[in-house]
Amino acid sequence: MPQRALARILAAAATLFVVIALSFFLMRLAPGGPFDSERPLDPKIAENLRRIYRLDLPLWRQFLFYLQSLAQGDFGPSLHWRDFSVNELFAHALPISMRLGAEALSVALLVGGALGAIGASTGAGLRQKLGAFAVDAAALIGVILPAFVIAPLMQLLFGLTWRILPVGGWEDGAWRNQILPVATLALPQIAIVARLMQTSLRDVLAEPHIRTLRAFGLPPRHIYAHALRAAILPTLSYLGLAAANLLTGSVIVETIFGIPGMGRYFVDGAIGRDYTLVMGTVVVVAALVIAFNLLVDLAYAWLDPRIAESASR
Amino acid sequence: MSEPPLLEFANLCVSYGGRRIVDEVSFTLARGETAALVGASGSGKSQTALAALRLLPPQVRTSGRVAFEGEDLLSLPERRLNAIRGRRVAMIFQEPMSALDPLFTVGSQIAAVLRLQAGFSRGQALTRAAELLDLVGIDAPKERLSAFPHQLSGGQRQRVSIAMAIACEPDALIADEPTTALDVTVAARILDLLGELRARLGLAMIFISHDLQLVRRLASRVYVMDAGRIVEAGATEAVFCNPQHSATQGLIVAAPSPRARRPDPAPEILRAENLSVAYRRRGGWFAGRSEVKVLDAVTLSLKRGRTLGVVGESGAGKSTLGRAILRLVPASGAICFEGRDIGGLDETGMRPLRRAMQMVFQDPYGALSPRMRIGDIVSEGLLIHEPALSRRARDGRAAQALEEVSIDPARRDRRPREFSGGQRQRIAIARAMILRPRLVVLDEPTSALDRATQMDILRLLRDLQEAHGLAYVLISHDLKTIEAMADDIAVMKNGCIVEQGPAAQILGSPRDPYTRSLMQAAFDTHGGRQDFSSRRC
Amino acid sequence: MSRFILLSPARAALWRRIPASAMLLVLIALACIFGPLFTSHPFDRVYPDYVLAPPSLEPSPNASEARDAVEELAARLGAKIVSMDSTGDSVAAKFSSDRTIDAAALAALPRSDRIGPPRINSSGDGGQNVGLNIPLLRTVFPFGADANGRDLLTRTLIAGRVSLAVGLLASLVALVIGVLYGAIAGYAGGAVDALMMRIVEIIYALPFIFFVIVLVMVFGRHFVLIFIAIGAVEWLDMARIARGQTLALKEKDYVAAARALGASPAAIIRRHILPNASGPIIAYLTLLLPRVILLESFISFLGLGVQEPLASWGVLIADGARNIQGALHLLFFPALFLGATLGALQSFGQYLQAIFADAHVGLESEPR
Repeated sequence: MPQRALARILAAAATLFVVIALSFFLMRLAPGGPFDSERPLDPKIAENLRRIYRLDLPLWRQFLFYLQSLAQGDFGPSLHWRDFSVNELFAHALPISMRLGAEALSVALLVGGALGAIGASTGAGLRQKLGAFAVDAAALIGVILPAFVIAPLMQLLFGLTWRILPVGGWEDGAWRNQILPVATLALPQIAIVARLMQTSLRDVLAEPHIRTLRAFGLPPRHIYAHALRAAILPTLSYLGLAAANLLTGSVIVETIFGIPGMGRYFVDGAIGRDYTLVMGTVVVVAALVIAFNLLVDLAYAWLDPRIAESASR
Repeated sequence: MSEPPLLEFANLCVSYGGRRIVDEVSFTLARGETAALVGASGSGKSQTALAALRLLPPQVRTSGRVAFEGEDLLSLPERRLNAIRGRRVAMIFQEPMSALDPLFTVGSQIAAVLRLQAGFSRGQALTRAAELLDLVGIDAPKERLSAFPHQLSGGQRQRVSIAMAIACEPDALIADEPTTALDVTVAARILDLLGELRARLGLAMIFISHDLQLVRRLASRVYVMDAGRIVEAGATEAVFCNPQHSATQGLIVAAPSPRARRPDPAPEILRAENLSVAYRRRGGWFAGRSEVKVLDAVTLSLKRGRTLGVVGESGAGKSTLGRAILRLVPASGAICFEGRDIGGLDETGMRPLRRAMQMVFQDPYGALSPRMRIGDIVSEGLLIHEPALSRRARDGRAAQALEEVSIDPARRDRRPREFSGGQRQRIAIARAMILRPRLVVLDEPTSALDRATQMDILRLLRDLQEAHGLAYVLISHDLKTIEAMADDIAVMKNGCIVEQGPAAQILGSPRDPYTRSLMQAAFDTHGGRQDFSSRRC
Repeated sequence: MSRFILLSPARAALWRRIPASAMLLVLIALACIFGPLFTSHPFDRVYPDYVLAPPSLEPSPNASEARDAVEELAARLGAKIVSMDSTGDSVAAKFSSDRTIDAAALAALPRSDRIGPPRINSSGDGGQNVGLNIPLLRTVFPFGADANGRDLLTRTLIAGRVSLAVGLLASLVALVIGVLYGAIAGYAGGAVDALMMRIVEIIYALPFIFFVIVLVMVFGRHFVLIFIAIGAVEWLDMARIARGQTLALKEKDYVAAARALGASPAAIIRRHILPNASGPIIAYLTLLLPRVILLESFISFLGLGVQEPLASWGVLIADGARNIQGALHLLFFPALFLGATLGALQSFGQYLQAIFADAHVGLESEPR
């Protein structure tokens, strides 16, 4: 088990390294390079850039220096927001994005999980039909109403027509400002989690070992406890992907609701061709997703004894 | 007839989507009695048992009556039914791996039954669970409590299932093919255990099986099912010795008589020396690599036109041996085919030889590409080895090959799914025969088929062997198949050959204890084969 | 009715088996491909007089708009309207003015989207009292017009072409890369497989949208680049599916039988593996399409995709989101088309998956 964890951590580190290298050399492939901007650079920034990127050195040494500054947690100056370093921007933006993401993930897991569990029960009763219908409806909405359609609609309804929630802005994370962004972020994930939970719980309930429990007359409460433990595994392994999806969604949500998070800086940076900022974002985001996947991986092995052993035996 | 029956099935019907899979089944089980439900797969015997405890999926409709001590289980409220399930009537299932929850320790699974159904406290339950494991013959029961199902062998898992079943000391036990998924020697020990427990606990038992031979050891009464109905019923010996219905007869068709010995010398066609196959197991980055030997220094020889039977239980390395001989898996050691060492040839070097050595596989469903027409399947070898042949000529040869295995050549435009298991196996044989090979490896060619079809296929293989002078390597776990076909026999265990020699010698006076236990399990005897032959009735 | 008379019973049954989702898809595709030919508006034609016009099936200008236009005309000519009489396609009006109204004065008028150039029917008092025939330009904006006064119907259909084309091409790129990569990894197995799948896992770890945006940013915004970028990220799942199928299929006895016959790996992949893997792959392709279309819309929504005046559904939805207060139709119609396409593709993909799953089960079971 510890061996497996160690191997996983090393693999994650290797993955992060590849991502950093990929983004670094991709930037260098850009026609004209990132630094022959049409606009003249501020001498101070130009100086900083040279310090970080060592443009006079051969490419591989530039990369080593870039790694070194990354290791020291230095992403360099922003090319777009002239007065800030990328670090300063992140220090402000990262907590906001992570808070949004964590809240949306919790909502998705709670609502989606509950919905899926209710929708999994098969039978002819009204309750079962309603449950299955709710999951179908959620899945359909999740597919046909992407975040960038839902968000303006909610702004229109709650912000402009009924005037019960602010249309946008962050205001240091006031709860009223968080409701619409979190709902927008969570909605597609609710659909996916509900569907996953429904199918896996249905599959598990149809498995022979559940039939064994029934054959021994064990109470439904006990049977569901067994089934849920197994049914949660596919949702757990989806979490890694969910984290990536939430980060993608945060790009849209932060843009639409005007929230100063990572996603918005990323888009603004991409439009303003702010290479340092975009590269920094890619590295940070990849690190987040990789770390999250690692946690999920370890949790999975902890929940499913078969996994832990198949690797170490 | 004074005492009322423990369990009474009356006109039980089960239908699934308008199709009746159990049709008017009625029988009774007295206290302490053992009855057997026997039938081919799909005859409805398992559904009958599952219906009794209402374990079928919700979309299945049941009617009739299954009374336990006079109470109709089919109409009882769930809560009252749960007081009978497990406590009074317990059940064990065919596949012990999937019948246990893979995510919980066996101890907690047995203890859950004890706590929730017998009112034990948590601590008492674990103590009792260990006692139960001991009772069903599991070594070191205390340590085994914390094992997960996947850490146990198939036989041990089935013992755990039995421990769960007897936890509440039920009056009746329904055993649904409890030994089908197990190797013969393991199955024999599980049967012994069931017989012993029955005597000790005074259990009534419904034993479900497709194997009449097996049933004979345990049951006093037999109900033979076919297409959802009970077609024959009676005392076990009576049914066995004087089967009336064709379905019953189909279950006890005799194996073809053992092949006559052919002492005349024939040239050697195949010789393998020190053949070994090892798989490397990846253990992650730091766990290191370990080698698992699935075939360990096997040496064997086969003469032209003869059959070498390779027998052993699952995991013994038989299939690997078959594939290693044909160089389908990488192996070390020497393989001489018709005097030529083929051990070092690469794929290109092997290609011209491939037409002389062919293979027939176990699973007739998996062995034919589902999207190809059977004509193309049969003639694929010609495409490779006689590329100059015109499409028409190939088609003609395919028709001929199909005809030789008694498949209507007019159907060669059809896809495999339109054929039955036995027909598919014939098609697979035609594919191997079209190249006129001299050596054919038969990997469990009949074990996926029902008994009557098995005999047809074996007869076909024998006819083909005589007509074309083929040499066979016949791989089987079934000693009766081996007995019917083989001139020589090799017995395998854990990747090694433990005993080999002429068929009569191995079957008549087995020397190795493992061979003896195999024989005992297969022929239900304690001596040699003579005993089996005389025990027909 | 006639459908069932014309078709044989078997064909009619087949017709009924085509799911509604597939018919909806065909309908949307046909509308997007051929629709712009019939809308009578070029997609980039700007009608300054119809900026943010609401959707309506009534031809514009209506009676009051026509009056407004004539009044505006009169004001430009410095004339008073003496009488005005609408006759459907044109307005007959009598103007009186202090100045002379002649052909030269009329020619100097700015162009209007509502009325055509007026003709002088009668002229009196040296051109100070004129009878004018003012033709009305009848135009229809079923979906209304956008903030630049362009017909939204035409633009939605044109945007559909772009979205569907990007979706198809990018999915094709993903299909080719993914299937080749996955089949090779799966068939080779062992260390090759482990390495190839490790690479896939690494790319997986990167949220793909960031990768696509970086690609677009680095290489500039170009139609072709967008679908290559999307296809190049979206092949991962396809590769996994193709590999999974290959891994499962190569263990099948029919593959072993083909090897025993001496068939080469390429022949085995071509003859035995790809045909049997095609079902799940096609089903996944239909599920990939909506993802790709969504991704393109997403990039376009952020302003990093298709450039004006060309549009995709994402561009139009971004427009709609900007004008949500007051002109909801700008969001509604593109979102409707996008949503319908995504939903139909999703449902069709699930339908195909179910079919292939059934077929798979059918293969394993004994024929009755």
